[in-house]
Amino acid sequence: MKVEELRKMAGTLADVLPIEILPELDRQELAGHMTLRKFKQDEVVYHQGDPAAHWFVVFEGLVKVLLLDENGRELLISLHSRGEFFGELVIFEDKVPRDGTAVCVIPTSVFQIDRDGSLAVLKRNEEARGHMFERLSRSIRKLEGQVEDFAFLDVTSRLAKYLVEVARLGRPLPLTQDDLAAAVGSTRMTVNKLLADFERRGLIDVERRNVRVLDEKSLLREIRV
Amino acid sequence: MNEEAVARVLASAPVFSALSEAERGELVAHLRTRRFSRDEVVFHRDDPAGHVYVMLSGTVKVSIPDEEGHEIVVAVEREGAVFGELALFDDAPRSATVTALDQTEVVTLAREDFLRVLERSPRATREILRLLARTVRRASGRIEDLVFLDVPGRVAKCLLDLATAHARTEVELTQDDLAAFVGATRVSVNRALADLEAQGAIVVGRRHIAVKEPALLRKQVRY
Repeated sequence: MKVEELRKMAGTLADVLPIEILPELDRQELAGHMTLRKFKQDEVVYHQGDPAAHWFVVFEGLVKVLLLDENGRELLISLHSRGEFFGELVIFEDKVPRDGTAVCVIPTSVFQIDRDGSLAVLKRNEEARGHMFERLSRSIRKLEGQVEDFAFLDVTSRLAKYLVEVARLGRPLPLTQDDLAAAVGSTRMTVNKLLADFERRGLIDVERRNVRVLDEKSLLREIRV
Repeated sequence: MNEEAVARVLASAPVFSALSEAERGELVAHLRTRRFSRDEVVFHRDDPAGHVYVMLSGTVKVSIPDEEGHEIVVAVEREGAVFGELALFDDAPRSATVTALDQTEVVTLAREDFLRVLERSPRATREILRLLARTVRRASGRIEDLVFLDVPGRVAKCLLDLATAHARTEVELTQDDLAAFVGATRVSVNRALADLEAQGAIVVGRRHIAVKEPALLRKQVRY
């Protein structure tokens, strides 16, 4: 794909990305370090432990990042939709392998951008560095919140909280019950049972690959420390 | 303010150690000393934030309220610790409440003063971005531990990590600190420690824990 075409595509993300902080020339240069990659549902973008040289921006679709333990158990640590970055720690840390596996939840297109080119652009742009500071601190805050949840909440509370958080994003995320189980650190069986219970009590409506929250207030009351 | 002591603390504090000595020297002029007495609140969760705190002496606890407003202590910090440092990088409100546990002296630094020094130093900027990236990685590692390890495993891993990080066999930590850190009750942490001590892996003192047999600790860390 031509650089000009990639630039135009990236430009359509302007409503969710502060592209304007980069001067014209640097946008041009970054596009030169970019490729568009398309993935099918469940296809892997990178594996935990892989050497890393690129970072990614979601053009369309949804990507989940999983941490895997030695027994193959999965923890869904984050979700990334249109305009969001993933694998971006590679920009700041040289030669550190991927600490998670990135998998497409639905058919997904991502911009793959190489590290060295991005570093050069970042070096020249103070505002872009400031933006990365903000993004990283946001990630740290979010992860620290998750640490608190896992330390102090039981599975029922974690699931209730997760469903409310996902619903508040305002767009349905096509998550399976396996995804939900991996996100709250539980098994599919437990999550299935809890969802059935929430549904019976009218708190949620379980559809295929979508849970609709019907009664947020009552669902929030399920969260107990 | 004892400038020499401040300089020493800054040189080994995570965010500031990324700066050169000259850059740290520039910051010293902008530091303000504040003292807190026992039970005094340094800041509340959800307060607007704009300063980082560096502890010169004393002890503080970092806590969050649960749904009913009860307090959960998530960390205890002492001399040399830095807290509230994310305020240097974004303007989100405080995510936890910090309260002095005894007479505590801190120095504070405003975001603008820090950023002014950072703007002139691409090298320090790079260092700090790397530090933040590592913090992201460590936070997801902690979540992984919480989900995949049981309490004895978490306790063992925490002791190993701290001993390795400080390259020492003595870890200065009360059982409350440890409980807060591994996200378990004091009772279950106590039990895990007693168990590890009976195996000869550690010796538990009043305010510190000595690691005797790292290999035995490692055996506890089973995912």
